[in-house]
Order: sequence, then structure tokens, then C-alpha cells
Amino acid sequence: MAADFDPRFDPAFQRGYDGRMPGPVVEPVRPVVERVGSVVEPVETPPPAVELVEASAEPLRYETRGNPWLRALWVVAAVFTVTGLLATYAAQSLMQGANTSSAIDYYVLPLTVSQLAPWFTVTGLFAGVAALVLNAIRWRPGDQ
Amino acid sequence: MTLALLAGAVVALGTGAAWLVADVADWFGHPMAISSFAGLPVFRDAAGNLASYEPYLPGPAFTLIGFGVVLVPIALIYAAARWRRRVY
Repeated sequence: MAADFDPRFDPAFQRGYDGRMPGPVVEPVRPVVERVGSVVEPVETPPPAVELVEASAEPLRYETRGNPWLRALWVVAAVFTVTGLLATYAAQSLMQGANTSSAIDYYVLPLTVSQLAPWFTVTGLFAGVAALVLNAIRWRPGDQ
Repeated sequence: MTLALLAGAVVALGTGAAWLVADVADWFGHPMAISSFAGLPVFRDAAGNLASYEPYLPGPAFTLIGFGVVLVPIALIYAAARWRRRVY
């Protein structure tokens, strides 16, 4: 099965490839010149069998290009971070300009906004860092 | 697993929001007697009566909502790491 691979092309794109990489190809023995005027005829040696070896590095299981979940992660990171920062600013404004016309506006609203703002800010930053790490791990020099 | 994480996020956010609304309703339904010594602002309720309230304190509902918020990117990270392009 291993000898069926055409050495001119990558085995990964040939029939029968099962994830193992072929071993090194050994060049055929060249004719040896014994003395001037006489050449020892080379023995026709069959090409060595291509030996398959296990690929050492397991490929990463995810892709970044065209990954819809990664795009959603970027969007969530941006939305959560902006929401958290705006909520922090809003909480400061609500506390400074307290509205005494309603108990809800005076007590509950500033507290609710100030309590939830850090969750959104930190989670948004966390999501952004995670998306960056996922892209960085899969980055190759040839990638745009 | 992704759907389970997203479902967990939805449950946490929904339960936390419901808990928060119930907590606020309970707090709002128990006004204090007005006292000039308490130093608290006085509000007029829907019926036109004056009422005062103890300062509202944060409860576990905020933690539950925050837990749901955190679960959303975790689910997306898991899904992004598991996603592979379909080859037809």
C-alpha cells in the first residue's frame, strides 16, 4: 500500500493516505567507475519501498479562517467591553446626580448598573484575549 | 456541549433577572416609617403617600447574572475551538 504513493506528489492528496507521513526517499546507487575506460554497469535496483512513519505533531483541531464561532466571540468581546464601560460611566452619573423622585431610581438603578458593569467589562476583555489567543496559536507566517 | 453551556447561560441570566425583580419588588413593598432622625430621603408612592426606604443592598441575584454573562464567552470559546470546516 505504501509503495503505491507517487513520490512526485504529496501523499496527503493521494488515494490510500491514512494520516501517516512517508519516510525519507533513498536515492538509487549511482554507477561506480573502476578505472579509466571501463564502467561497471549499474545494477538495476528497484526503488526502495516508501516506509510510513507516524506523524509526530498532532494537528490542531480548530480553524480560524471562516470560523463563525470565533467571529461571534469577537462580537461578544466588543459588545460586552463597551457595555461594561458605558455601564460604569452611567453608574457614576446616576450616583452623582441622584434622582429623588423615585425610590427605584434613587436606590436600585445605580446599584444594579454598578454591580453588573464589572461583570461585563471583565468578561468582554476575557473574551477578547481568548479570541486573540485562538488566532495567535493558529497563525502561520504565510497567513494574512 | 456548546448548547449545554449556552443553555446554562440562558438559565442563569433568566433566573438571576427574575430573582432580582422579585427582590426589588419585595424591597419596594416594605417601606419604612418616616423619621426625621433616619437621614433618609422621603419619596411619594403611587398612591400619593410619603414613604422612606432602607438603602437597597445587592443580593445573590447579581452573582447569578454575572455567572450567566461569563458562560456566554466560555460557550463561544469552546465552540470556536471545536469547529472544523465541513468538506463535501
